[in-house]
Amino acid sequence: MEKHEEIVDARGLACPQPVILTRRALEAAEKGSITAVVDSEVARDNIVKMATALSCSVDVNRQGKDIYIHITKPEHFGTALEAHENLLFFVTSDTLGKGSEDLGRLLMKNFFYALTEQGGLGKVIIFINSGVTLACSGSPVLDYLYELQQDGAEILSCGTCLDYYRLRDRLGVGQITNMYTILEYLQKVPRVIYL
Amino acid sequence: MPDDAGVFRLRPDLALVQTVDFFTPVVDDPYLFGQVAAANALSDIYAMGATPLTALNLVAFPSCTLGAEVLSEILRGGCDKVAEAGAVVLGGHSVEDDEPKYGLAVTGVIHPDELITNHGAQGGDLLVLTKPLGTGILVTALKGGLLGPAEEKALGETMAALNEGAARAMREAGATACTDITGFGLLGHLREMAFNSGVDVEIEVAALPLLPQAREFAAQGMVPAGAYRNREHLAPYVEIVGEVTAADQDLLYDPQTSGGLLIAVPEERKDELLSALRREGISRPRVIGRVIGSGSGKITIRGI
Repeated sequence: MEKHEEIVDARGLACPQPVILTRRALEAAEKGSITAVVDSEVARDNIVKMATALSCSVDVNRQGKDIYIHITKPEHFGTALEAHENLLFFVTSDTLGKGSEDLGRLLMKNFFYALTEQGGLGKVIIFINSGVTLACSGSPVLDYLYELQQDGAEILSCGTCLDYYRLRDRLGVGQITNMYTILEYLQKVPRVIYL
Repeated sequence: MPDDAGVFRLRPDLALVQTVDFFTPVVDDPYLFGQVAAANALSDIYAMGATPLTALNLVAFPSCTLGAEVLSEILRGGCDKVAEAGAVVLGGHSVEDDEPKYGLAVTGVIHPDELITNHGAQGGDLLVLTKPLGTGILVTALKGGLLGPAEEKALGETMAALNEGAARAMREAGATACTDITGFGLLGHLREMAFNSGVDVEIEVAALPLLPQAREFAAQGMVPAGAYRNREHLAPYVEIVGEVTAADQDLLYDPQTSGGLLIAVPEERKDELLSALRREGISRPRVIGRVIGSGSGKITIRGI
C-alpha cells in the first residue's frame, strides 16, 4: 500500500496557528512532503512565505472553500544556501583592474573565458554597480555567463544597480537579488574573490 | 480623512484635543497590557503636539472567567502610564464581555496656533520615524510561542513607551506635520499624511528602523491579517523601485500597536530634530524618506 503523506488540517484556526502547525509538521517530516489545508488567504500566504523561506517548493490548489498547500522539502532543509556553493566571485565593475578602460573590458572578457574552462559548479557570481552591465544584453561576456550557468553556477545581479542603470529589462542571465541576499552570500560562502 | 484626534477651540488661545482608543490584549502580562493601551491612547494627543490632561478608562471584561486581580493589574498599568504622562484618570466605564478589551478616552489641550496636523507636509521636508516597526509581526510570533525573551522585552518596551518626548522634540524643531503609526501601518498613516498634505512622498527600505527579528519573523509567515488588509487597501497608491522583499513589504504594511510618531520636518531643521529626539531618550530616530513635492498622495518605496 502507498504510504500516505502527512496532512495538516488548519481550517478554522486563527493566525498564527496554521503556519505554526505546518512548520512543526514540516520539521518533523523525515523527508519528502506534507500538505496543509487552510480556509483563509492570510493563512495560505503566511504558510507559503514560511515554506519559501525554508527553501521548500510549494504548490497551491483551491477546492471550494478549502485551500490545499502541498510543500516539498529540499535536500538541505532550512538553509537558504546550497551546500555545494563554495566560491563567490564578487564583481563590482564592468572592467577588470585600474587603468585603461578598454584594457579593463578586454581583461574582464578574458577572465570569464578562462573561468568557463573550469566549469560553473560550486560557483556563485554576484554583479553589483557597473558590474551588472556584464549580465545584460550587449555584454561581451554574456555567452560565457550563460555557459557557466548551464554548468551549475548561480548568477545574481543587484536589483538596485539594474534600476540605476535602467537595465532591468535587459538582464540576459541569472536572477535579480537584493542587499540582504548579497550580504548573506558574502558571509557564508567560504571563499570570496573580489573583481 | 480625519486627523489623529478631534480638536475643539474653547478660546482664541486654548483648544481641546480629544481621542479614544481601545483593543484586545496584545501581551499576556496584564500590567504591561494596561501600559501599552494607555501609551497607545495618549499617542493621538502627542501626534498633534498637544499635552494630555485627563483620561477615562474603557473596560470590557469577562469577570467570571478572569479574576478581578487581572483587571486591577490592567487598570494599574493604565493609571501608571497616564501618571507618567502627567495626566490623571478621572474615572471610566466597564461592561461584561467574553473577550477583555481595554483603552482610554483622553483629553488634552493646546494653543490653536501650535497645533501640528497631518496635512502640513511640504515639498522637500524629510520624514522621521521615532520607533522601530514590526510590533504586529512580533505580537503574532509571540502568540505562536516563537518569540525569544530578548525580543519580547524589546517589543514590550517599545509598545509601552510614551510618545511624549518625541512630541516635545518635534515642537522644538518646527515640525510641519505629524501622525502616529498604529493600525494602518507605516504606509497607511503615511498615505493619510501625504494625501491630506497634497504631496507625493518616498521611503527608503535601507533606512527603516526595525524591532529585533521582525524581518526574520515576517519571512517565516508571522504576518497578521491586518497587514494583508492594509496592503490591499493601499497598493494602488504605492510604487516600488528596486528590490523590496516580501518581508520588507509586510513590515511596511504591518499594523502597529502604540507605534512611533512620523514627523515631517524641513530639511534644514532635520539635525535639530534628531538631536532633540536623542536628548529625549529616543535611541534610533531615523530619517526614512522625504516629501518629493505637490501630488496626490503617491508613495514610492526604494528597495535594497
